[in-house]
Amino acid sequence: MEQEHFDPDFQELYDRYIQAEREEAGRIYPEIAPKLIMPVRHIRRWQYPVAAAILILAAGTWALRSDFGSFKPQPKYTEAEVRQSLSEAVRALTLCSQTITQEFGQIENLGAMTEAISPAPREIADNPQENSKTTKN
Amino acid sequence: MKKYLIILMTLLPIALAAQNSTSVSEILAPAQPVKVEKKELAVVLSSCATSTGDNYRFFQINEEMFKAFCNLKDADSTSVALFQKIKSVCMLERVLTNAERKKLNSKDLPYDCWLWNTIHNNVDLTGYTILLKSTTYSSLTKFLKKELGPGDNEFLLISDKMVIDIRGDIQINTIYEMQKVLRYVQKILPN
Repeated sequence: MEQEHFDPDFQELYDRYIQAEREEAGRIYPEIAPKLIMPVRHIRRWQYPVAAAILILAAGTWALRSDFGSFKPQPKYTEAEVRQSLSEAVRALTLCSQTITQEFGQIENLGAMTEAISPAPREIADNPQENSKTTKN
Repeated sequence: MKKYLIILMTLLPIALAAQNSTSVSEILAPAQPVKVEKKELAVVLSSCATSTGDNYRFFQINEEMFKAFCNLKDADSTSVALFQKIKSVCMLERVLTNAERKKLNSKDLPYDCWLWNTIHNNVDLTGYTILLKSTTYSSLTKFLKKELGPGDNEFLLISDKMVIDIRGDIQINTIYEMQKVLRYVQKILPN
């Protein structure tokens, strides 16, 4: 099997570089180690269940309110039922309205008729002479 | 003495039998008028329809159904505005035979007080104001109103052939103009 052969000068240089890098890393690590804390470590222990509860509530609310899935509230009446019932209601309301219009219409006619047959209230004549004539007579 | 004893012995079982059959207080007490328990209008109308076979037809529509209509796609804004105000509608209608219908058209069918009497006897009509009362040979119409609260009125139309009860935030003008408003709705509803 063929082995890779490096130039001895390059090999020495490379080994020194690796050694220096290790030394540097060993020296720097204790300085930067306290800064390497992950942000998640700031969350306190009691905050996990609270966050979980909030998430469950949000998910539950979404599931109940959304139009998807089996949680969608089923309409109580079908469209055909609504239309059929409303057809009856409209019939009733129209009949009621018609009857009332007719009956009140008759009253209006009755009023007009009463006005027509009853003697009109005596108007004061505009002409003062006419008035004087009546007085004289 | 013997005579008296025999008479007494004969009368005693008769007296006991009479006491068992009718209490004296019942005989002496004056006749009480029969009190009819007042019921809700819808209950009375419903029982009218069930007790008279096919002679009367009853239906009742509640607020929920009107709300359901407002959610229909082809509901127009005017009707929706009207139906949002209505809380309930119930109707009892007399099913006329062909012969009766012919007579009615020729105004030869005398009016029947049965519906009015039934409602008057069984429904508590206190608080109702009679807005209109009309009587002819062939028809009897009464139109009543009851204010149930702010924005809640009840209008009751009783004729010899039908009873219509409308409840909601409606006024007399609303009923007067209802047939114009409902023309569009009639077109979109099944025949």
